[in-house]
Amino acid sequence: MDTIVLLTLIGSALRATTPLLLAALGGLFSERAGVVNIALEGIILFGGLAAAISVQQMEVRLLAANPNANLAYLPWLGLIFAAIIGGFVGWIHAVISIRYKADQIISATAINLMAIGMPALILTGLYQNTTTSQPIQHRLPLWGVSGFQLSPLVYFAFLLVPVVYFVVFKTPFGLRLRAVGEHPEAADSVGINVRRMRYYGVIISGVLAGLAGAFLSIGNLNQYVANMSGGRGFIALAALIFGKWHPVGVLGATLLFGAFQAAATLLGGSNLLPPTIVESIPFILTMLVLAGFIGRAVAPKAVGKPFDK
Amino acid sequence: MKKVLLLVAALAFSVTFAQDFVMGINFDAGGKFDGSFNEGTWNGFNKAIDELSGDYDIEPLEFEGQPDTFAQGLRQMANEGADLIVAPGFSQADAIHTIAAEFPDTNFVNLDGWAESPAANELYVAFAEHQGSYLVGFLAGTMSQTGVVGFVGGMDIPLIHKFDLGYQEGVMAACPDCTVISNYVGVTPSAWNDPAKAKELATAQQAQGADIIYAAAGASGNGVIDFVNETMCYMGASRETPLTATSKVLPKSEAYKAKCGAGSQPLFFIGVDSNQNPRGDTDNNLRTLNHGLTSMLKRVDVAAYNAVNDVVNGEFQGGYLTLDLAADGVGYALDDYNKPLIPEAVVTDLAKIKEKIISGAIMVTDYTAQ
Repeated sequence: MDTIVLLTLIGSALRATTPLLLAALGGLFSERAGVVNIALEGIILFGGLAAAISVQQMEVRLLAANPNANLAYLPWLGLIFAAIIGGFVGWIHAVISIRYKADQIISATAINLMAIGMPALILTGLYQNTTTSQPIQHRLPLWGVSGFQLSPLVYFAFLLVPVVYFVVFKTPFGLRLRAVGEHPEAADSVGINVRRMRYYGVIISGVLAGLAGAFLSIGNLNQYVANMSGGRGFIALAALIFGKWHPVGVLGATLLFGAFQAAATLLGGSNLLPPTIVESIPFILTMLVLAGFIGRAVAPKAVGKPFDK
Repeated sequence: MKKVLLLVAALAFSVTFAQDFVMGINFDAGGKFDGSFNEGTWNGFNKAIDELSGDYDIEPLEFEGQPDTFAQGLRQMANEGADLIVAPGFSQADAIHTIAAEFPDTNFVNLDGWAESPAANELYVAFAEHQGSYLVGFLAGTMSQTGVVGFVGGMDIPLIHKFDLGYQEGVMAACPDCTVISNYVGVTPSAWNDPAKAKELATAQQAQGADIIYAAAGASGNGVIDFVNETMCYMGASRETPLTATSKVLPKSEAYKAKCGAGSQPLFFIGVDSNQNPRGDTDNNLRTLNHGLTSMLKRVDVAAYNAVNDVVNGEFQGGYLTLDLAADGVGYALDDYNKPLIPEAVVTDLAKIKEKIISGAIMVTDYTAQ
């Protein structure tokens, strides 16, 4: 294989990994705190929509005021919007499942359903179009050497792994987060505010999933496309399980998913192996892990259970 | 009280019997303003009603459904006395076949779908996408400066293989030594909405030498278009084609000049369904080089337009209908955006190819007929 194809393959794998890694690290915070967050899928969509629309709307107005304005900062504002909206949707999930102790799966499913319908409504209002937002001119820049350039969010996602490791395993905050996910009653008895910790966990997961969405819409593309998450939120959850709720494990799992997707991309052109088989291998591995054939994945003990004081 | 009742009765009477025709359209998932399939159908439908509204009183109905509510929309409109319901999308075919039996007075037109032994009130319209794809493939084979061209399909289904195969045959007819790299975004419906994956496919195809990429992938195609518009150029052309001359003299956009040095050659995409050529105009300047080489046109608007007219004229016939090159059901887009790229001689060649396909001198293989 010549070097250009190999470099492309590596770049492709890293780009495929990025949204999964961001969302899975988000899911790690939520699940470590004891709240299942299958709403990652929907939050990715909301984040992507928020980033694309905020940049597009600001761009149009600013360019109308001054056609030569330097708007290089705009996509970064879009990222902030995506994080805020992602965090907000996470907060909704938190309120329903922590404060009102509703079933976490149902609350998250509702958010996922909302993420199919609501963007269409918003897009129709803004652009008379149900599937795509208007393309933006100012997307996130690409960083790197010529021939191998990646979105800043790719670097951010990978740098986040040691940060998450440190926060979750080496700080009092992380200790409390894990405690409320393992044994909320015990955590409560030593004076940890279980609900507050869980709110933090779910909101952080929303922020990170929102950034994953922004990567898809304004990092990798120049517009929002309906349902563009394409199941990445669910794959991130699978990676979270495969990675045993540990940041380094999650990194390995998402890299595996990304690498297989990139390999499938390249194989698709040849007649060696059907790409769908290659792409499904990580899922088969996930099932094997879940079934206990390869190591054991032990979820936080109190995950999915509302805390009743 | 009596007066009110009379008024209500009069209103009811006028509502039920005032129109000459009731025409419905049941949109496919994606919605009315999807910028391609549904919108094209709606445009043709609307155009026909507009033209006929001087002579007839036509009440249009519409319903935007999802796969689980298609049947509901069809039934509702049929219950309201629709004379015709246009329903784009192969996933509506089953519902139509069932409901057409319940409402023999309503005519149904489905685009892209198929059902066994249709009754007199159901028409299934297919398009000869393989013929249109052959044309754009012939153009790609004629123009490619690397001898490698790409195809990015959406969901891996026979309908998309029909595009793929026609395209490959067209490329080979123009350039027997060329290579076509085909990739599909996925095997589930989410493959229509995954531009990120489509963009990776285009990236990989370019790394393997493709300089022209044809996308038949619904909204995922945006990823291919974005890849071409963002990357703009490549190094390492190996063939001299008509494109070498035309792209050399065309002025380039500022972004292109900044990005692409001496010896680089421009990348192109080929759009699908509607005319996507304008999307290759990265700097909103018609005079600079356009990255959309052409688009394979699928005239869903023609199908909807004809259906409305046929019903009004009492000429509706059920069964199957294929809109091919001869019927202008498919074609390739040539407009102000891509005219500067394609020399007159190539346009003439394409016209000859088109004639040969229509006359049967060239037989393009229809994947779905195999």
